[in-house]
Amino acid sequence: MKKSLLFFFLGLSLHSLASQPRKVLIIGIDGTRSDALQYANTTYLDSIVANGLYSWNSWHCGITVSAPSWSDVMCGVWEDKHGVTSNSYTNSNYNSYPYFVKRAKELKPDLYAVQVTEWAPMSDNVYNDGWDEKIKVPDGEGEPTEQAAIAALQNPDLDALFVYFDAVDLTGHSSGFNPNNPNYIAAIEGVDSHIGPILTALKARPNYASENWLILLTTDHGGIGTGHGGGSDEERQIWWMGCGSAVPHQELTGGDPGSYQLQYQILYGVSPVNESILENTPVQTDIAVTALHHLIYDLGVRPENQPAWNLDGKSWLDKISSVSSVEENNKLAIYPNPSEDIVSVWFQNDFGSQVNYSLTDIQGKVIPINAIFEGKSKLSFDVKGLPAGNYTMELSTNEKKFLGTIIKK
Amino acid sequence: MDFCLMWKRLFLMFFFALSILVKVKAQDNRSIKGKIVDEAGNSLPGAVVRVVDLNRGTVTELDGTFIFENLPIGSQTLQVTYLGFQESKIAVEIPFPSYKPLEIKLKEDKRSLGEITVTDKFNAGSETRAINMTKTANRVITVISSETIAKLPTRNAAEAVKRAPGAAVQNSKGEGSFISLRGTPGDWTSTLVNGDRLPVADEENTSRSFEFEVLPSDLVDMVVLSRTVTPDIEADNIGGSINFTTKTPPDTTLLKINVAGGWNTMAQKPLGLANVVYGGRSKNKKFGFLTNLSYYGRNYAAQANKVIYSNNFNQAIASYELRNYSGVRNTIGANLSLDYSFSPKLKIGGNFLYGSMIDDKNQKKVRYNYSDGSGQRIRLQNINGILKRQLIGGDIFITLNPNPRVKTTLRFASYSNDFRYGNSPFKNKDPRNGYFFVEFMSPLMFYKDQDFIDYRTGEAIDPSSPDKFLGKTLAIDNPYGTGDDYQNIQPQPINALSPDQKFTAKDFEFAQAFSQLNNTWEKDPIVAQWDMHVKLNDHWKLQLGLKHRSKEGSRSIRLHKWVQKTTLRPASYNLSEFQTEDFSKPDFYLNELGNPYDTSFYQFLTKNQLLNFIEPFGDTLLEYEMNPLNQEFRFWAGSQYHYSENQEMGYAMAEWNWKKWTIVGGFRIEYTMLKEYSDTLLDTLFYDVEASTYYRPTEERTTTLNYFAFLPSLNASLAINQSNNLRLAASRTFHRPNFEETKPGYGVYDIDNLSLIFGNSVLKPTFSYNFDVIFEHYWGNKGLFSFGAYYKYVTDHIFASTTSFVDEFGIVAKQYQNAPKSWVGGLELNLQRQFDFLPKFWSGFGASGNITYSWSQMQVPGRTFKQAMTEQTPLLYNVALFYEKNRWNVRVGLNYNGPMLKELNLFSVKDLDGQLKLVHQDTQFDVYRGPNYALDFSASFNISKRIMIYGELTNLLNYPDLTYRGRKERPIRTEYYRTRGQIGIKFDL
Repeated sequence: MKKSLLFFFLGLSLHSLASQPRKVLIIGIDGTRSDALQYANTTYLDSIVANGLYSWNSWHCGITVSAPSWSDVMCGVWEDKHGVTSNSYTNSNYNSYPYFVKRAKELKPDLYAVQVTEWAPMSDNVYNDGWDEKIKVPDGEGEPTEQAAIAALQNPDLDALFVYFDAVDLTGHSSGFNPNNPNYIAAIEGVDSHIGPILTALKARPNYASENWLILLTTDHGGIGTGHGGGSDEERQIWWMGCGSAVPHQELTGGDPGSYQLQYQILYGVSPVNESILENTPVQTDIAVTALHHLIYDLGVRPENQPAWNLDGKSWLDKISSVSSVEENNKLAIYPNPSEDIVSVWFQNDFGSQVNYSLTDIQGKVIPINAIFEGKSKLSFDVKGLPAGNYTMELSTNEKKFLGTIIKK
Repeated sequence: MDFCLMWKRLFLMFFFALSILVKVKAQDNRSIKGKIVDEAGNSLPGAVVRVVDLNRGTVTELDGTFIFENLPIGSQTLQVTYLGFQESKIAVEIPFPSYKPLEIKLKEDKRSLGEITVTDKFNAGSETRAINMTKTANRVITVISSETIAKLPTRNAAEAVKRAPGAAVQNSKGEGSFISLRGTPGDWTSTLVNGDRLPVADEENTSRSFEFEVLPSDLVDMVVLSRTVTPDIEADNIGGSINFTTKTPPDTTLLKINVAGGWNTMAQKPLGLANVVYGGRSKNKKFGFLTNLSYYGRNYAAQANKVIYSNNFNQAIASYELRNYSGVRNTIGANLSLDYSFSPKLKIGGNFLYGSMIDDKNQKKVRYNYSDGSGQRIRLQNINGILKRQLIGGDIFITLNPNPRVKTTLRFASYSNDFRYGNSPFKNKDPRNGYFFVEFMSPLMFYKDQDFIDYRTGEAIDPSSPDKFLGKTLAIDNPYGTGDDYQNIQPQPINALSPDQKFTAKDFEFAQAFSQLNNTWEKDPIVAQWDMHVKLNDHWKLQLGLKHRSKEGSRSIRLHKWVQKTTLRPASYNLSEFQTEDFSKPDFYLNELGNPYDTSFYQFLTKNQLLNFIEPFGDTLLEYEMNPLNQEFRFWAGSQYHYSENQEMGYAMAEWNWKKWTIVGGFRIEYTMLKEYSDTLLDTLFYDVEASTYYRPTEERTTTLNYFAFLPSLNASLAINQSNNLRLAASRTFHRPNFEETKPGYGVYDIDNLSLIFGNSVLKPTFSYNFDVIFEHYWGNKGLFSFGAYYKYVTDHIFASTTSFVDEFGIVAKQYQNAPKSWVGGLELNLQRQFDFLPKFWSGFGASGNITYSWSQMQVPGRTFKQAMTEQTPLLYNVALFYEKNRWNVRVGLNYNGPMLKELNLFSVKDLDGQLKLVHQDTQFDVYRGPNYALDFSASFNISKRIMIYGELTNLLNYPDLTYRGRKERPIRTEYYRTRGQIGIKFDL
């Protein structure tokens, strides 16, 4: 099951997709710190990083609290427009700034959209969201969420699905948002184990071959201590992943564009948003706009160009829909790079075969590797003792060879 | 089924015993049956009666009677000694006419009595009786008479015993609720009313220990604290047992009225009480009755702060709370006692008991959330609940003395105890009534008082490290020396968007309302008991008995929640739109700590506004019921349970008096059959179409626990002489786990502490081998001195610990476990002395004091070291200075309970091998209860023989109730009650 999972990321991208129905799956994992996700042993998410689109360097420009953040993600606008600033969902302005699904339905009224969420307010306190079904599942468990998502995927007419997991955030609040909290890491790995079967079920749709799916995964905020809501990097730095019928292997990078939050500027010294950095950085409002763009792509409408919609996000669809080159697929995903100590590399390894690797310095001398974690498609090791400079990493599975340059700071 | 069988057996035994007894030779004229009384005709139990020339002796029963048989024909001299009374010698001639019982009146020893100490006809000499009963008892006891209780300032039965040697009382809002003996865990001490353990139903207490708030001390006639056991006492006690006897019909007509009023300095409101006792006996003395009505109403208040630590890895703080409690408690107690003697051989009677406490409790809570799902916030919680406790029950008995040497009693009792919430916030017993919260929330804000610490070690850390943890720590845990003093914790919230960085009422918006529901009841529908005493001769007494108890109970905890329905009305409701009042009076909140909190800017709903909050919103509120469709149901699935238990008990014991020795030995058997039911969640997933919700159905789980306890015991006492006793005792006793500890199914959710508490359906009862040695010295009735030591070897001590398994979504899970082996040993010293050796005025002074010092040890699986047992107080003492003379009775008393370990932190995480490993091998994350000091003052003055005025001041030191994490510099909860005062008048007609 696992082995066949990732075939579509490769093969199908070669088909002509223009006439196929476009569909969107968004998976939200609440409260998942970017660095902790890199540390965790996540079979399925690691595979997406190895094969698909990813960014460890996405930044939150708004309030690092769930309801406002997920509203950013789903509406494609920041708090000043959607109005939500706390988990009470009060002062919301969804009538003027609805969920992207609602916008898509303005042009394609027949779309069928489903939300599966573990957190009731997201279902009960949001309106004008366009969902045909708002399904609630027990909080923090994961397994029912997986089952509900798989059930929703059985509907051949399904066009958009949002699946939301809460366990990581719950664990962070109770024992700490931290890569060194074993419980937090275990919660991330637990959610990962439920994501795999959802992706498998998606691929198993009878008409899958003739559908064009865009799958986006993200979190709403990070965390520090046992909380979040502030403007620290640990709370604002988030991540993005994507895969799907036409999504190549690619890293999205960008700098920290700053924050719209005046309080973060005053208390944390975060810069006000720099629009030129923002243009090139994946942020939360981009998810809605990219997903919306995908859904209405065949109509030739760009969401950003709809003045009535007044969206803040930007569509990454053009950049991520390009057919990937073989060369791109043979490049190691490396993060963080440059690095001072721990560095991780991701690689395609669909069959889970034996992995061989070596690290050489600029003179070609082989450097012994102190591996911290060896996963199916991820390798983490410590470069702390090495002199600053560029190192070459060669890695091979039975099927493929990979190459990458690691920069030691 | 069981029950019918039990009845049959019991009746068979009863008639069987009767048939044997009838055959016992009727009383012959070579016997003397007599009764020892005081001048008022009150019987004197525990008097020593001797036939001087024959060197034969006996001790009078509770009703003051004694008997000698098979005396040789001729003249004999009876000698009666009783502490505090003049020795009496009476010549009798054998044969003695059998129809004429001998009544011997003792005269009080005037030298030892004050001039007017005896003002209470009903209780004349009762304190003296108490000392005599203590001295001549066949086990180690302390008797507290109603006279002593009446002198105490408190109106609650638990507090009446807090000055007794080795007794420690735990408080609830400044009033005693539990008692434990010898510093042992509270639920090791069994508290009995008229010999029965009462059913327990309380808001929080899930132990088998009765909460005494509902029982006014006015209903109590006598309290017997037993430190060692004899087989006739219910043996589910390891620490000891305390039996409260309610008042019984007097020998002469009696009317007493007691009225008092007082003031609570923290509540700044009055309190008042009234008590009427009326009793009497028919002319032919056959029918006696007593009614007792008691009312106690008081305003109370408490001010507390609470620290909620954020995690189990380091000592950072998640929230800090300021709590301001106020409330009114009304206790009503009633007692009706009747008896009828058909003949000296047959007596029937009954006691009926009613107690109720209604607590209208208000709380204002400021919650500084350093970490909150909605970002850093201040939350204001407005809280009200009407807590209703009700106890009702009673017994009927038949006593049959077919001849003077045999006494059998058949007794049936039934009790019911109930806790529920009253009509708040809704009327008419609405099922949503509970402990009701309305919460307002500040806008997103920040705290200045946080530092970066290392997540796993709490040490200083480089701010660029991913392991940094932003948290507030107190002085002892702050690696930069910038932490707050633990007695002056000052959150530093800032509203960066406001010029003065502060908040006003319009900044706070309605966040949620919720009602914590709780319905708990327990009843013992039938307690049936048969006892038979047979006095074979002067040396041997036999006693046999059977007892059956059936018990049923149920506990249900739920949450009902309201949030704003933003789909209908997105705009927030702000606090400024409601009727509000200040958090506290200016300069009044926690002035014990020097008024550190400027609370003026916190506004709270008025009570009227709070209770009428929900309904005006109409459908702009979303309501969440706690059922399987609720997404949070998983946390609550196991929070309802019910049970039934049958206890079958029997005992046989013999008492042997030989020369100066009294030896009591025998055994008791107790068989317990428990069935307990609670829900767990199934793995199957169901879908509710209407609610578009996937949910897990629940399924009932059952605990079936049957256990047999064989409990032998031996008490030996040596009356070295008139003034000195040496006592030795050995016994085996046990402790039944409580119903929450053995519950099946999912854990019980403790929403206040965000923890799930799992029962353990294979938990074993705790057994203990107890050894005691004690030396007692009596100074007449003017005092006593005793010194003793005890040792208990305990298997399967039950303790609660933070889990050894990790719950997947991180709520802290706790479970009850058995610690395989532990022991506790202690030394006890008790001294009471009136300074009658001093001249004149000074001879009215006296002092009393007792101290218990104990050592204990338990080994917990996973911990590499041994440590003191949970709930065991190493040191407790009580000292008092009193003056009793010239119509005055003045007393100053100090109680001290030492600190103790409450709960272990066995938080574990999986290491790289997947093995669970304890995170802490020290005690810095364990929960302790702090020491407690209470200083009380009382004074009374007899205006005449019938009228007494009295006054009392309690809690003079205003020492707070404390709990802390690891050490006192890391407080969890600090709660103050301030001083209460009361003055009153007693009429005695």
